Parts: sequence; structure tokens; C-alpha cells
Amino acid sequence: CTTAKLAQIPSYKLKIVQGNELDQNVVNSLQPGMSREQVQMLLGTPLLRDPFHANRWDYVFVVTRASHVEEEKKLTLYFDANGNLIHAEGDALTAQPQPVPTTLFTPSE
Amino acid sequence: CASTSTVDKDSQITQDWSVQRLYNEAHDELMHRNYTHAEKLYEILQSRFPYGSYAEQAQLDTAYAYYKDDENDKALAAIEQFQRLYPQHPNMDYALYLKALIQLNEDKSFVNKLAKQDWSDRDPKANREAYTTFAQLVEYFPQSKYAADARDKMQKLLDALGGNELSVARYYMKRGAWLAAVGRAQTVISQYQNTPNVEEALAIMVSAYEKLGEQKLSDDTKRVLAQNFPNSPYLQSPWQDHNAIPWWRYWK
Amino acid sequence: VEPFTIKDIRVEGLQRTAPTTVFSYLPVKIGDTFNDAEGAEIIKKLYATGFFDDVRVETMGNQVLLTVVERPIISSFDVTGGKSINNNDIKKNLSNFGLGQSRVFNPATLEQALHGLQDAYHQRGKNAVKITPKVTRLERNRVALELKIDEGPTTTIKSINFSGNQQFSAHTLRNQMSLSQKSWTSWLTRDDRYSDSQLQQDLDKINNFYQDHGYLNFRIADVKVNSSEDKTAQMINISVNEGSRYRWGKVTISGDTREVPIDSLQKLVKIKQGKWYNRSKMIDIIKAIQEKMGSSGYAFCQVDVRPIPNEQTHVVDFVLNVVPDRKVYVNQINITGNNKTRDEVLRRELRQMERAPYDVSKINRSKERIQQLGYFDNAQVDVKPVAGTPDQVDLDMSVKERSTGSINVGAGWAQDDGLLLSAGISQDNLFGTGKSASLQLSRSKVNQVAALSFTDPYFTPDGVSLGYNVYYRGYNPSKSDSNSMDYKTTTIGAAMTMGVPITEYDRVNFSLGAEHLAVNLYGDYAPQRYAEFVQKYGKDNWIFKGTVGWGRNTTDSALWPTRGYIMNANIDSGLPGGDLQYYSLSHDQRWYFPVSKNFTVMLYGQLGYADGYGKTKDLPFMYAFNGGGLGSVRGYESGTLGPKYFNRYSDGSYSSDSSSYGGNYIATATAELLFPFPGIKDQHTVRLSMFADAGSVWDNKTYNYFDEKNPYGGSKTHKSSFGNEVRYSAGLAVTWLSPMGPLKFSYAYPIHKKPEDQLQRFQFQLGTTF
Repeated sequence: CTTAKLAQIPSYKLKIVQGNELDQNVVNSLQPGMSREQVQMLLGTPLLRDPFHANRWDYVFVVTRASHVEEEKKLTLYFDANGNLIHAEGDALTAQPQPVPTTLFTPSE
Repeated sequence: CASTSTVDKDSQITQDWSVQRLYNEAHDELMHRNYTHAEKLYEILQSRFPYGSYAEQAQLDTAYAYYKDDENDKALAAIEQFQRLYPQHPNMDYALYLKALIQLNEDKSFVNKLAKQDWSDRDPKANREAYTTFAQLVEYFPQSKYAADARDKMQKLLDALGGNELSVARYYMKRGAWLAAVGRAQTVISQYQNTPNVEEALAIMVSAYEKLGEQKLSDDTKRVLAQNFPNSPYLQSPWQDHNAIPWWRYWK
Repeated sequence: VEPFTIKDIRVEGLQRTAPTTVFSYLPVKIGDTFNDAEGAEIIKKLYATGFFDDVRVETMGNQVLLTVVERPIISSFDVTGGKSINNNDIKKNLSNFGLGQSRVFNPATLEQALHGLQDAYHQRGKNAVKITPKVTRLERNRVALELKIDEGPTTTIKSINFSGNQQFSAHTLRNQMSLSQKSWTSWLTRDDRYSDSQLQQDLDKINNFYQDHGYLNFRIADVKVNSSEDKTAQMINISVNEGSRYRWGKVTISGDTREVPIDSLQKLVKIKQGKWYNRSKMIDIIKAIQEKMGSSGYAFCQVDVRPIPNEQTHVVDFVLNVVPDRKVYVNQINITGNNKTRDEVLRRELRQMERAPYDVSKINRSKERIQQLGYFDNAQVDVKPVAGTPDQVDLDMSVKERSTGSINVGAGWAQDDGLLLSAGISQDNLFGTGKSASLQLSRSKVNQVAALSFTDPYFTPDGVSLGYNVYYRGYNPSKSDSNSMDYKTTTIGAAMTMGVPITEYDRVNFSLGAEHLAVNLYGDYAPQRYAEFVQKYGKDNWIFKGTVGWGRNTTDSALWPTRGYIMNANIDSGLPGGDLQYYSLSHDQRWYFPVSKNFTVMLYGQLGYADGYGKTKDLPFMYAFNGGGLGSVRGYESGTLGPKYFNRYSDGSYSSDSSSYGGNYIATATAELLFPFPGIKDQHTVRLSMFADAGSVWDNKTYNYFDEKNPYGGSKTHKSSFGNEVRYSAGLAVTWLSPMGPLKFSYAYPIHKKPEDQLQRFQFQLGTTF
């Protein structure tokens, strides 16, 4: 009814910031074989850890306003059974690295 | 008389009463709901005859009087003193039960009944404290006559605490804070497994992951939802906040 | 003693405590092995219960024998002789130490309590107080405890002298202190009471005073306090070492500021080189830097200050080394204290999200928004680190709910209104849903009002508000006993209201509605204004009312604002298509400036212009501005500012009081100094204020009275200009935020009033007006 249309009226929408802000140099310094503690020391505690995927850490950073994404960066890290980093994927990797020696790590393994 | 302190009426007339008479008189006042007078008489009893079962029961009755008089802080202090003085007291199960009711501090006022405000809406701290005390009661006195009601209230409190987490998750979904919603939904799943809130919590996670562009996580969570709730409505249509009340309505 | 397995444990000396209770506290039970360490443990545990004066452990064969001496119970506890602190307060205070009727008597806590009481008396300058406890033993291991207090004379400060102070006189330095020499006001302020802790605080105040005036290496060399023999008078001598006065040099920022650009921090350094150094300015700069870093997640950021004074030029440079520590995220925000209000009503005001970077500016803004709701007394945010995750914190937001409803049920007898029955309920936080509703029903011979309004502030998640109000107002002065006038107006209307946030601080409000105005005249005592109105516009009029307004609010709280400003600009109008077409433009501003911790200056200004358009040549009188009374120029009866006239009735007679036409123009201004009621400082319920009001309502018309009776006393014409109509007043006001709603009282003295003014020095307003 009309009140639903009224709800479409343009108004100030809050900027919603969620997740871990990643420092590009630190992301580039990731090495395979690092332990979870080492990764946590570098990147901080991941704010997205899915209960059904114990071997996977997600560093998501997203800024949205009125449900449309203004800024987004993702990094997913996979660990083996005894907790060492084996694989990483996500657009946080492909962002051009700061003037730092390139890591051993190929972005899309 | 000897001591120069102001001797009030009550301690005068009860000057030579036996401990039984003092107790019965105080108990009578309690039953007739004039709590302040009952509290006074119990205090005189405890200072004059601080030993024996009458003093112990007086301590408990004082707590009950304060509770009925809506003096929650004093009631709680009286109960805690009882627990410290008589840890092995046979009526300890009643003491714990009363303590939990005090902590719950249900708003017994008429207005609240009118608003049918359910427990999940209000400040979870009170619910959590009451839950831990009920849990102590059930653990130490499984056969107590209060245990049954304690277990029932514990389940209701669990649902309320889970409900509170879920209502926060719903808010963050409405607000578009997907990660916060996932966080709260995960708390429901990890800490409140056997409450009816788990199904909706999983549904929220499915929808929030999708909005975050985490399709794999969304699909995996949907599979978990399907296994645990095969005929859940959320399997067909994604999660919506259907229990929000319309703008013109203010009652539940 | 060699260790052995315990066969039996026996306890002796128990009268009050049950043996099972003692066993429950024992670290050992029958069958355990007993050794010296266990023995010591038993003693430690039993003492910890606080029940026993003495515990002895002996062994006989493989039997453990405990002999205890139970502490007695206090059966009566009296305090006598307390004057500057009354006896009941002392008793209440000591009960926190566990000294009270039917509590276990422990000599050690008595000692501690007496020590605390002595300090309290020294605080009040009673340095010669003597407190003698009397413990009398009673049967059944009970004691009667009595405290006799002899307060003794108060030691007052005879003189405070300074030495070494070249730059500032002893008088200015004394003004910085809260202690002072005996003066004629001392009997009231008691500031001449000497106490060590107070002196310590005053020395810090003097230190800050010097530091804030450039004396970087100021030091208090020595403090001598000597008292007369009978301890009644105290002479204080403070010798200071001022050092030289410094000016600001360069202030550079160093250290790792992570992603926060250094020059954004450099911009916060608001000092002019060459000006005198001022320490509190430096403290503000450091706070601003920490807040800027805190707004990008560095909650535990530190700033190390390194002054580099140049002895010759007396210029001091500073290096501020920023230590960011780690970036912190908010894990959960727990809201407590909301027994009635739903969690979402609070959470939707928060700007800081969960699972997001910690941002102190957002947290402060969240607290402000919660306080602007007006449902809570105060909102407190505590940052609690999350155990086990160094870079996450939880925010505990605790609020104290206040009753937001104001229920006014009134029955009164107004001199010309007759019996007034009115009932109204308005509830801002209806059943804790954050929605507000109000219903006002009032009936008297002259006035009948029935008004219902409802608003949901969060019709959309982003805070677009939607509401409606429906009203019936009947006004029938012909029934009034005093100046009855033969006309009746009835207005019935309804409107939808909507508010749209356009930025974090600004809102645009709309309302659209229709109103039917009926004016009936009868008999020959109808006022000429109404007669003219009906003759021009007819009895019945439909008005399509439309308003659009912009509002900005940056104050820190709705109930007790201390800083920030509120600005509004509105256009009310009778839209084309209605019988009456008018427009009314108004703009007002309200500024709050904190002058000190408790004092706030408020400046208010309002401008307005209204006129008819299209079919309606000139402005119908009911839409004109009028002034006077609370919220306008206090001290004048409400609605009496502006050009005045006597009602001329059709039979030629005139009304006894003058009425005002109101005006097309309005301009008012107020300056007010707000401060809490002395004595009720902590909670924000009563606020006093001294104010000066000024205001004018005019319409630029010239009124010719020729020989008619006119309120201006004989002068033939009256030009209604700003100057002629402006009125001033000054006075005192009290606002009490009572549980029944806000009550406002004011006493105003009108300044160079004119004979035709209608004055009302004392005015009050109960609850919110409808």
C-alpha cells in the first residue's frame, strides 16, 4: 500500500563497515607453512570463521551503504591438519603489492 | 533503661518473648503481607537468639520478605549471607530457588503483563544470572521439590537468551551488517543448540553469506540446515524478517 | 608430626556454627592423609570463613582435634555523639564493614572501621576527634557494641601564605585553592576546614595554574603546616619555585601512525608559536590525537610527550611520539539496564557495528544519539578486552531507564473556564518499542480538546519516521463567566507527518493534512476581529495544511544539553485549493556553550514572517505570530505582545481587557545561564537558570483610533513597528524533569514596560503542551 512506497523515499543511509582491514604489505609477506599463531600475529584475528569449515580462515573487509557495496576486499586462507598455511585466495592478494619483494606465493594457486 | 540507644516500640514489647513466639509472630506478619514489620521482628529475633534453627529460618524468611517487598538488592544480600553462614543447610535448595527468582527480577507490574513482553526482549544479564543459579540448584539438589520448576525455567531462559541473540542477528540483517549477523547467528548455534532458534539462525547465515558473496559457505550452511530441518520453510525461500511488527502497531 | 590417615575429626567449642558447616570448609576428610601442611591449610581455611577468633589443630593418634573459639554475634550496635556526621550515617557506613546488628563481631574489622571513621572526621577538619568503642559481653556468646564519639573542636585555617611567588600574588594563588582562610562566608562554605587530602589537591591545582601560564619547570619547593597547641588553628606556608616562563616552540609529531596520515594529526596541533606555553592545551592536543587514532581502530594508542626546553630563549619545542599499539576490532556490543526498552530500540541508534574496526568517534556519537532519545538518564560505554584475542574488544553499554510517560489528569477551576476536566497520557517509549503516542482529552465550559498523535521514529531501518495526528478543538468563550464573547470556533483536522534524515545530524520534516474551521457568531458581543473574519471569509473554511521543515541537532542530550546547537527552518502553509491560503516562514537557533562542569550558557533566537496569498488578501488572525509567556518573552501574558486593541461590541461597549492582533513579523532572543539546583548535583532532574528575554511581534500597520477607546491612552495613532512593539524582561526559571513530565516555572521582571502591557510575572507550564 502507499506506506510501502513511502518507505522508498531517499534518505541518509548509514555507511556500514564490517570485517578486518588488511595491510597490503603484511598480506604480501604471508608464507606457506606459517602456523595459525604466526598468521594471527600478522593479520590479526579473522572476524569470519565458519563453524563448519575449521581449516579455513576468512579475512573479509566490506563497506556498504544501503546494501550496495562501496568497497570490498577478501582473503581466504586454508590450513592443513596440523594448522600450517597451505593455500590462499582472494582479491586481497591480487591488489598490486607495495614496493616490497614479491612473495614466493603465486596468487591463484 | 540502661543503654542510652533509642529503644523502639517493637523491641520493648517483645522484651521477654521466647524465640518460638518471636518466630511465629514474625511468620504471621509475613503471611499477612505486612513485610516491613515482619522484617523488623526477624531482625530482633536474630540479634537476640542468633543460634539454632529459628535464626537460620529467620534469615531465609527475611530474604523472602524483602523479595515480596520489591527490595531486590536487600533480598539478594540476605540470601548470600544465608549461603555464607549455613552452606550445608537442609533448605539450601529453597534458598537457591528464591535467589534465582530475585535475580530474574521479573517486572511483575501490570503494564508489563499488558505488553506481554517476553523474556528474550529484555536485558540478558538478569536472565543469565538467574540461569546459573537455577543450574546450581538442579546440580546440587536434583531431587528437591523445586528442581522440576527450576529445569522448566532454565529451558525457558535458554530459549530467551537464544532469542535475544537471534533478535540482534535479525537487526543486523535489517541494517546490512552481514558479518555481525553471522557472528550472532553462530553464537546461537554454538551456545543454544537445543532451542527452537537454531533453525532461523542457520537461515540467517545462509542469507548473510550470500550477501557477502561467500557462495560456498552459503551452500554448505544450507546443506546443514537441510540435514537438521528437512522441511524448513527457509529451504525454499531465503530468510526474511517476518516477525517485525508493522509501523502503526506498538503492542506485541 | 608424621603424616597419617585420618580416622576421625572432632571439633570443640562450637555453639552457633553447625559441625557440618565446619566440615564443608575443611580441605581434608576422613581417610585422607594428614600432615603439617594440611594442618596449616585447615587453619587458613577456617579463619577465612570469618566465623572464628581462634583455631587450634591437635592430633591424638590418628584423630584430628580442632578447638575453635567462635566469634560472638553483635546483638546491639549504637553510635552516640556524632554531630557533623550524624549517627545513622555512621551506622549505615560501618555496616559495609560488616559491623551491624546480628553480624559476626570481628575485632580486626572494628579497628579498620574506626580508622576509616577517623579519616572521615579529619576530612571535615575535626583533627582532634576521639572515638571510644565499648564492647560488653552478653550471654549466648553475644556482644553489645557501642561507639562514643567526642568530635572536639574544628581546626580551621588561620592563614595561607606563599613565598617565592614573584609572578602571581598570594591572593590569586589562594583563589585557585578550595581551602581558604577563615572568612565571613566560612560558616556556610566550610572552606576553612583543614584536611591533608584537600591540601594535596590544592597543591596540584596551583601546579596546573602555573603550568597553564607557561611556567614549564614550576615546582612546589616545600609546604609547612604548623598548628596551634590546642589543634584549633592551622597556619599553612607554601614556598614555590617558579622557574622562567616559556613560550610555544615547534610541536612535531613522530612515531608510526599507520594508515592515519601524519599531517591530519599535525592539523590537530592548534597552538601559535610564540604564545605562552599552556599545559592544558597540550593535554587537549594529545587527547585529540588519541581520538583521531582511535577512530581508525587504534584503541590503545599512546602519545609520549618529550619537551625540549631552550634555557636561553625560554622557548620549548615538543616531540609527540605516537605509539599506535595494535588495531582493534569490536567483537560484541552488550546492552544492559534496558528492563523495559527493547534491545533494537537502542541498537539502531549505534553507529559502531559489531565485527567491525573500533572507532571511538562512532562510539561517542552512539552515546550522544542514545541520550538524545530522552528515555535514559545516562548511557555509559565500557571497553572490555576479549579474553584470548588481543585485538578484539567487547563494548558494554549500560543505560538507566527513566519513565518517559507523562500522565496528566487534571481537574481545576479556572476563573473564566469553569470546571476543567482534563486527562492526557503521553508515552515516548510505548511498551519499550521506541514509538511515541499521546492522547489528550479535556473538557471545560469554554474549551473542549480531543487530540491523538502517534509516531514511529523508525518506519524504515534508516530512521525515516512516520506518524499521524487527529484533533478536535472546540472554543466557546460565550460560556465563560468573566469576559464572555458571543462566538464559537470548532476545528477538526487530521495530518500525516514524516521525518527524513538527510545527513547524520540533519532531518527534513513534512506534514500534510486537512482542517475544517467553523466560526459561529451570535448575540451582539462578538469581537470585531471575528466579525470581520466571518464577513470576509465566511463561517466555514476548509484548509489544506502543508508544512516542510529542515532541522539540525548536534546537542549532546535531549534532557540536559550542555553543548551543541539546534537549528530549524520551517514553512507552514494553507495550500491552494483550500479556502484560506497563507504561508508562515520561521527560523530558530538554540546554542549551548559549556562554561564550566555544571554551568551552561544557552542562546536562543527566532525570526518569522507570515502572510496570506492568492484568495486570502491578508493573514487570517489565527495564523499570525503572537508572543509573550514561556518560550517567548517571559513576564508578559502569553499572546499579548504586538499591536493591541479593545474589543468593540456591536452595542458600542468595549471589553475590559485589551487583546492583541498578533503580527506578520516576529523576532525573539533569549540568553540564559543554566546550572543544576545546588545540592542535587549528580542526577539531572532540576535545572535553575537566570535569563534575559527580548522579543517583538509587529505588522508594520498604522492603527488610527480617532476617538475610539484604545489601549495606548489617548494617542490617536499607533504604528506597529519592531521598535514600538519590542519588550524586554529578565528573571529566574526552574525546570524540573519530573516523572510526570517536564515542569517549568519562571519569575520574570519586565524591563521598561508600557502601560498597555498585560504583565504576568510568575508563569508555569505543566507537562508538554498539546
